[in-house]
Amino acid sequence: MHVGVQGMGTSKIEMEFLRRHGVTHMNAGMADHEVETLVRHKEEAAVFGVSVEATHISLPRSITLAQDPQRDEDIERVCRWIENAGQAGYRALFYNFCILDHQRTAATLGREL
Amino acid sequence: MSQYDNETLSEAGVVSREEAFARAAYFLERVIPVAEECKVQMACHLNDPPAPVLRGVERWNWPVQEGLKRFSELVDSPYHGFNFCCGVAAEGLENPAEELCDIVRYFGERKKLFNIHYRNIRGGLYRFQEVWPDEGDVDMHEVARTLRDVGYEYMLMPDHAPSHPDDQAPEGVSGRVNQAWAFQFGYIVAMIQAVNKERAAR
Repeated sequence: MHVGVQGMGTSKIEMEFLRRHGVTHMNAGMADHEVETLVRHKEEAAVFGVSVEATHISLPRSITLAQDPQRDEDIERVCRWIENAGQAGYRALFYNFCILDHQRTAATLGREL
Repeated sequence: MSQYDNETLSEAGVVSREEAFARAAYFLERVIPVAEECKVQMACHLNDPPAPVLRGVERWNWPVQEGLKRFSELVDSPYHGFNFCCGVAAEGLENPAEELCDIVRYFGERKKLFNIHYRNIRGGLYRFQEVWPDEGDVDMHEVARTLRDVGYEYMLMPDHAPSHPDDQAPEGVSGRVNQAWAFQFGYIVAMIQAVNKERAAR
């Protein structure tokens, strides 16, 4: 097992930040899930020795809210994203299956400052 | 900690646990065969936080162990598993310090863990606070040992680092380019070194 990160892109600043802290594996955030985009992020990170092995996909609400007939069309879209990820050599896709979004009360500071 | 409004319904309305699992099964039965064909692991994050019912929606991942087990068995495939957040799982447990590692072991042994959010909380079911990995109620060293012992081979990553107004990311990049994340990377790197060294010394 190894340290990793998600919620970051593959810009020079982000890559240098990861490298100097020993992070060489990541789930990269990206604007879409087209093959060219997936490959581009992999290539950008590889320049810095960082392996992009996953990305996050947001499921359309029709899927979690069971809104037919839109749901089947959106599931087809997710299937295309999976095919694209496979073609681009991604190990995994991360997703949430949330009928109700994440719930939180107001934030507080760390270590009770 | 402020109070949570658990009365107001969301756009989802009232949803039973059975309905939640039916919707998940409908989705998984259609996408996991494609994932198998493409050799892409589908890693589902847990609903945050687990609870019997929030704003009218019964959560599929509560009770935590039982909910995750049922979800993981909706389809039988090595490409169907979890982006397992230690913090979220702990939020749904009466006694995270005693219960979490057994859950990690159960799903780790079955190769259902495709990613780990390595974070900690103070408290448990109904009342918790996200904290730094070293100050929470769960022994994160024990979590790393458990992952080592089940042969977990993927990423351990921070998530939801406590923030501070002075700890700001440079403009134009992820807000996670900051001290809080650097601290947590260091914590994880050290923990992996420690548990691997323990194994080597056996």
